[in-house]
Formats: sequence, structure tokens, C-alpha cells
Amino acid sequence: MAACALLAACHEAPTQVVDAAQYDAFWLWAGVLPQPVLNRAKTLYILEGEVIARDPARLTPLRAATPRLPGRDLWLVVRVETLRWGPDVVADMRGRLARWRDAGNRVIGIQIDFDARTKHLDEYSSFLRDLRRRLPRETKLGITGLLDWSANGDPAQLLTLGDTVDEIVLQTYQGRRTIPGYDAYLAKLERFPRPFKIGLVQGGEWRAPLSLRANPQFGGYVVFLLNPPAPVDRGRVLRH
Amino acid sequence: MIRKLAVTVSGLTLVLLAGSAQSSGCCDETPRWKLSNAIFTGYDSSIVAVPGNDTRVNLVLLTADRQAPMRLAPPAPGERPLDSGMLPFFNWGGFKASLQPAMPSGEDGREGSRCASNASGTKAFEAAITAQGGIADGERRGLIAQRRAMQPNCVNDASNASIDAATGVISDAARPFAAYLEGAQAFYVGNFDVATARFTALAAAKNAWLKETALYMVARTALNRAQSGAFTDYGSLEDPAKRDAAAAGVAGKAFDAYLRAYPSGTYAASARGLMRRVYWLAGDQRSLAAEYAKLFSIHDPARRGIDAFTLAEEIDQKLTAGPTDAITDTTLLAVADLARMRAAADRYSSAPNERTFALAELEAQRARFAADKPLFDYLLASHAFYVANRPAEVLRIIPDAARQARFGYTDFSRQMLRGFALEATRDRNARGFWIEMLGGATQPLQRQAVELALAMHEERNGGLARVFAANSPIRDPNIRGILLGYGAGPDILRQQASGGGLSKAERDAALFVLLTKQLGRGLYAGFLGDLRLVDRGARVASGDFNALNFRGATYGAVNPPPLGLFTAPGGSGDYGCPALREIAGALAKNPGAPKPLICVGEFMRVNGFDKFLLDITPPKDALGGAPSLFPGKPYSRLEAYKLVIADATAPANDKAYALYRAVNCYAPAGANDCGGIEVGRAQRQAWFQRLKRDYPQTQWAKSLNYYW
Repeated sequence: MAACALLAACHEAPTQVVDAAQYDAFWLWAGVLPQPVLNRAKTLYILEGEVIARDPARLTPLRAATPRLPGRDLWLVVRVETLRWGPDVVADMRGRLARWRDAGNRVIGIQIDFDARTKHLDEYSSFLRDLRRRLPRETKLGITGLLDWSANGDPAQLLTLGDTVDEIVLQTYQGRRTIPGYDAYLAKLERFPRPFKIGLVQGGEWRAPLSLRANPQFGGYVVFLLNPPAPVDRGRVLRH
Repeated sequence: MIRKLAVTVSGLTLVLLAGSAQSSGCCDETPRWKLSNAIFTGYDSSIVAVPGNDTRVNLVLLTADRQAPMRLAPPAPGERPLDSGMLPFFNWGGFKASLQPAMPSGEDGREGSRCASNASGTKAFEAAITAQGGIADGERRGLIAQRRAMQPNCVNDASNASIDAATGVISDAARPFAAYLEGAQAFYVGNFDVATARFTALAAAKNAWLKETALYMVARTALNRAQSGAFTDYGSLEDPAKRDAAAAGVAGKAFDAYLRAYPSGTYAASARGLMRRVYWLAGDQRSLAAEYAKLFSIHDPARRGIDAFTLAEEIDQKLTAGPTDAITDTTLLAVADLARMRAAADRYSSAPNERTFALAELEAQRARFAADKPLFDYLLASHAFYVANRPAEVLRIIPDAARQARFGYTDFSRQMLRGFALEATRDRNARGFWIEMLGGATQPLQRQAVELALAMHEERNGGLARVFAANSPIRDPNIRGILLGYGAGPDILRQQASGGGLSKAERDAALFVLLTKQLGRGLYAGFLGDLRLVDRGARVASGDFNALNFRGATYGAVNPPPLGLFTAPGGSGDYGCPALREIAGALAKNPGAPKPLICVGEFMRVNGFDKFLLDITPPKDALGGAPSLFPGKPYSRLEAYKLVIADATAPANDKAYALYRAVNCYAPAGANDCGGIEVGRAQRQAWFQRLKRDYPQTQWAKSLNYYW
């Protein structure tokens, strides 16, 4: 802390870990058990299925049943490994959307979780434009994003991407951990040309730069919930 | 106007299937080319059953010897055969897709999936009622129409009024069919009481199809009833304590009843599958594990009713947290044990591994493996290698059996582990061992793994030239490509480019690497000499070329490396540069000449060679990670500009352009695109100010408005 007085760029809050109880928007992934903090959630991003690279790529369900969560804002999340979709994927997606709505849920939109390469954002944008055309009109389209986009992305492509979707949530984590060096990426967010949210991982290291709050494009946080680690790693029979 | 051809040499792009479905997933999902892998990422499983594999992959591998032989799925029309494109490392989806044709999806245990059987149920109903005598045509047509009209969506929508199928039905033969229809309708809308009542009453039906189907439907109804309270609001399975175990029990008895009455009946396979779902709902891990064990022992997938891959997925999803004492099947136990040998550290931390799997615990399982000592020995040896870090133990536990006519997958994993241990102990027989293994590596993906192990040995023991000799046993194009791209020096590259090589694609790629690296690392004489190897009609436009993949529908023949870039008569970029040949000629005479240095930079910049991936060495323990035989430092535009900026004799315009470009290396967000040694923001500011102050009349000073 003493060093802070000397360094010019000393504008950061103290390090802490992400305490989910301080937030109200969460990702709920397959296999992650419901936890009490979900009760105060206003917005939930719930993983419904995935499109994995196989021939033809299909929407594989990952959730045993339809959520029933009246009173919250839900996003139906699809994890995507490939943009080469088979003919049934969008139809399946619309079917799941209808089923969620039939069950009484207020589904704001569909979020696509796909790690597009920073150099291919224009391809991704045109894919998303096409997808949006095929979704019901009142359904928003959101995506997750990589910090690398803000650091190394072509600004024109980022603009186009930002115009194509309703929401971008930039993920600061990979797997169960915050990406090391995330603060360097965050410093570059001052240039990110469209509204964004920040994705955090439960229990991950996190130190919000004060500049984030001052950034007019910053729209809040979403926390990725994890199962608590097993105290002793026995009996964890099979988990991929 | 900057012409970005984007020669993206994207390194180890994971190609899951040759031709189709190339994932453009992010950077960090490139597999680490290392077979003895204990770190789980999800995307570098291999054909060796190691701790780092996905548990589903290991499950398939360790049961593969008890199943019908695995085969590569036939390619889709127009696609190349899969073994020409598969990498040795894959994720679960790619593995499943490549080794098995897609299976149709049916009822999958999700809430509401009972509607999936509607189409086939309709057909069966029509066939049965058509075959039944004593029904008037009008009745028959009416009932069929009602059945076809059922288009359920399974959202428990009570507003779907139940039908009264008996309207207009008079004959005795037709009445049970009407009752069945009412039951089916009730089933689909989730009115389980009515459904149960109708189906139960049909136990007395005379029609054989009705009788059997109704008995089966009683059980399915009970199962769906049990499921209806079994999920949380979030759509996940409830805690066992909150589920209705009694209802699951009723369903179990009902399926039992069906299977006793119809052990080879129409719905027998489905009933057995649904019994597993009953156990799952009831939280009965013991029975579930026993069922899976039974399934493994059935060799024929048709009799088993489920293919190995779907089974592995189901096991992975359903057999969740619970003590391993519930598991008696040796395969399931082995898969669980291997997963516990994983390195706890993830890819990002270098913290020491914290393993919690003591040898004593493994030893205590010995009795359970009495019927499968080779598998148990494999576990002991794996523990010695991955957990205890005692490779010599492996050699003691697993004897040499490298010479086989054909390896099963378990034996293959045993011998591969022995090979890893030979490498780890620097045994002088390691190379011979790998070569011996080649003969028996005949099942899908096995040979590739052995070639990889041999290639890694050669790379680390001065044997790279042997890999590219005419009689080399290493023929896999991806392995060869990685070695050419990272490890090979000018001699080997030139040899392959001059007519060596297994294919034109490999020749072209070797030449591409040779020219790029010589140009970038200052070997100008060599560069000039090797230009003659470029075909006269060579391509100039690049698309998305990947220098490491030398053949297949996507690369090589269809997307050859743009060798024409090097011989193009015009220059590239914004600085009036001549052709590359002239630039290299000038630098050969004077390596510090400022304009030619700048012009190399223009060539690299415009053609997307910045951050050239073949200049970033893979990890030490992966293929391509041994010190490269190619001399010199990787090319950096930033370093070239620094040279020109520091050159007191450089002309003003060259200086100005170098300053302009150097500042732009950090556009648009302060990250350096040009490689080399980083400079701080203060330095970029200084360059910016110097450009404005010392060269204000140049177009470069006028057009640069920011520094980053």
C-alpha cells in the first residue's frame, strides 16, 4: 500500500475476490447447483444447451428441465463451439425459447457464448446479423466477449459488432479463474466503443479499476457461479 | 489503403473433422501436443487413456476392447476420409463425431421429452388398428385421424382438453383403441392419473399390440409422474431428498413388470434404458452403476441398445458425486481413478500439484480388480508416473510388449505409458521401443500417437533429419508440419522444398517457412537463392492460410500457401517499395540499409506476418517445443524501426516513416503488434513528438494525430 503513494497510476481499489452476494446478475451453468444467492437474482443467464462441432452441428440440450422463474429477467444461453450450424439449430433454439416462455418465464433474449477470434469479428458480426433475423422479433440477442477484443480488436469491427447485438458481456475469467493480467486489459476498456458489461467468476480475484465506474459504456456485472469445491477429492466419480 | 491479406498462421488450430465444422474457437483452446498429459482442459484428450483425458473418452477407450471394434465414421459425401484430417488431440464432441455416425435423438430424460416419441407412436398405432379385424372403416378412419391430430408440446398445458375418443365408436374391437387414444392424450398433456387408468385397464385387451404397448405405457406414465416433481425451478435435478422416491419406485416396478412379460419385446431396449433413468431419479447410484457394468459386458451395440459414446455421456451425467465404494465395475473405477490423478494446477498457475490420491488408497482397490490385473497394473503404473513421479516404477510394473500384431486400446495405453517412462528415464532403448510399436498400432488414431511419440523423441535427441529422411516412418502431415514450422533449420526445409516431402502441400509449406524465416532473420543470400524454388504460377492471394496443415480439403490443395507473395514483381505497402528480390539484394550487401529495412517491414505488415505464430515456440514438453534449429531471432518490425530511428545517416524521410510506423505499432489500444522488445508509453510519446518536431513537412508527421 505504501508503494501506492509513489506510483503515478495508483487508482485501483484493493484486491478482493468476487463475493456473489454483492451482485444480482448471474450465469447458471450446467451442473452448477442452485445456491442461495440465486434468490436475490434479478437477471439470470441460464445455460440451456450447446452447439458443438460435429457434422451436422446440432443444439445439444444441457439442462434437464425448463426453468420456472417468474419475476426474473432470463437470458437463454447457448454455448457455441462452431459457427457452422446444421439446419435444425435455429429451429431448436426457437423451440426452446417458446417452451421457456410457455412456462411463464420472462425471457429477455438469447445469449451466445462463443470465443470468436479477435481477427474474425467481422465474420462473427455477419453470422450474428443472420441469426438475429431468424429469431423472434421481440427477443434480444446478446453475446459474451473476450477481453482481447478490446485490446486488439479493430475498432471498426468492434463498432459493427456492438451495433449487431443488444448486449456484450466481456469475460474476465477462463474456467474457474480470473485471467492473469486482466488489469492490463481493463486499462484498454476506456476505448471500447459500445456498451458492455463485465463478467466475473465467483471467488475469482477481482479489483475494479475506478475508471470502470466512470466509463459511460459500462453497464454492470454478471457473475459466473461455481459449485463449491469438494472438501476432499474423493467420491467425485466422474466429471469429464 | 492498407491491403490486409491476413496470412493468419494460426498455429495449432484444432480441426475436429476434416473439412467441416472447423471451430474458430479462441486462442486458448489450442491443444498442447503432449501425450503424457495429466492436466484436464477438455480439448486435448488423446487415444491414450491418460489422466488429462475427458472421462468420457477414457470410458470409451477402456471399454472399447469389449465392444465391437471402433471405426472411423464414414465421411459425408464430398468430404475426405476422416483419418486424413484428425489431429491426435480432440475434445469429446470431435471424438464422438469422428468415430461414430450421428445417432438419432429420442426421448432423453429431459422434462417434456416424452413428446419425442409421438411420431413413431402414431405410426405404430395406425399399423395396429389397420391390422385389426372387426372394425368399421369409418371408425378406423376416425380413430386414426384423432391420433394424427395429437400434436403435443408437453408443457403440461391443462387447457389441452382431453379427448373423448369414443365418440362414434361402436364395435368391440375398436373400443380398446379409443381407450388407448384417451390414455395417450392424457399422457402427453401430463394428466397422469387418467393415463394410468386407461393403460392399466388395457391389460385385458385382446389385441396383442394394445396389450403390450399399454403395459409399457403404464411404466412410462409412472416415470413421467416421478419426473414431474424432480426438477428445481432452475431446471436442474433436485436434491435426492426432495425427489419423490416412492414414485420412482412405482415406475421401477412397472418397467420390471413389462420386462418380465416381454423380455424381448418391442420396447425392451427402451424399457431397460428407462430403468436407468428410474435409478437416476431415485438417486440409486449402486443400481445405476451395476446397470452400466452389465451394459459393458454386452458386446453387440444392437443388443445393448445404446452405443458406446452415448453410454459414456449418460454415465458421465448420471453417475455423479457419490463415494466410489458404490462402484464395482472395474472400468468405471479405473476412469474415476485416472481422473483423480490429474494435476490440480490449471494451465495458468505454476503452483505445485496438490494431489490427494495416495497409493494406499489405490492399493486398497486391488481385490476389486482381481479379474482385470492388467488394468489394475496400468493404474498403479499411472500413479507412479503422474502422481509419485517415479517413472522407473512403470518399467517394473509394465513389461515390454511393444511388438504386437494389433493393440487393443487398454494394451496400447499400457505400452504408451511404458514408452513415456523410457523417455523420462532417458533410456537408450526408447527410440527402438516406439518403432516397434508402430507395427501393432492399427486401430483408429493409434499410429498417429506413436508417430507423435517418436517425433518428440527425435526432436529432443538430434534426430530431426531422420524424421524427414525418405524412409521415415513418421508420415502424419500435421506432425511433420509442426516440426517443419518450428524446429527445422534451413537445410531440412530446403531439402523438403526442393522435391523432398510427402506431398506438394508439404513442399510448398516448407518453402513458405524457409523464405519467411530467412527474410525475417537476415539470411538474405539464402533467401535470394531459394526464390528460384517458387513456381512461376504461384498464388499471391492468401485467404486464411495455416502453414501447419499441409493437406486435406481445406488446406494444401485448396488453400496453398501464397508463395507468389515472395516473387511478386511489384512492391507492397505505402512507401514506394520495390519487389522483394531487390530489397533482399540491397540488404545482402548492406544489412543496415534503412529503406530496405523499412520495406521488409512493409512486406511483413501488409501480408499479415506480424506476430508470426511459427516464431512463438510451443511449450517445452510439447511437440515443436525443443530448441529450433533455425538460426537468428524472430522478425520484429519494431526492432527494424528502432534501427532506422537510431541510424544517424538515415535520410529524413526514412526516419520519419520509421517513427510513424513505430508509433503505429501500438495502435489502436496500446498493445504492440510488431513484436520485439516492448517500449513504454513515454517512448511512444517521445517518438511522436520527435516526428512532429523534426520532420513536420512530411506526410507522416501531418497524418499522425495520436500516439498510444
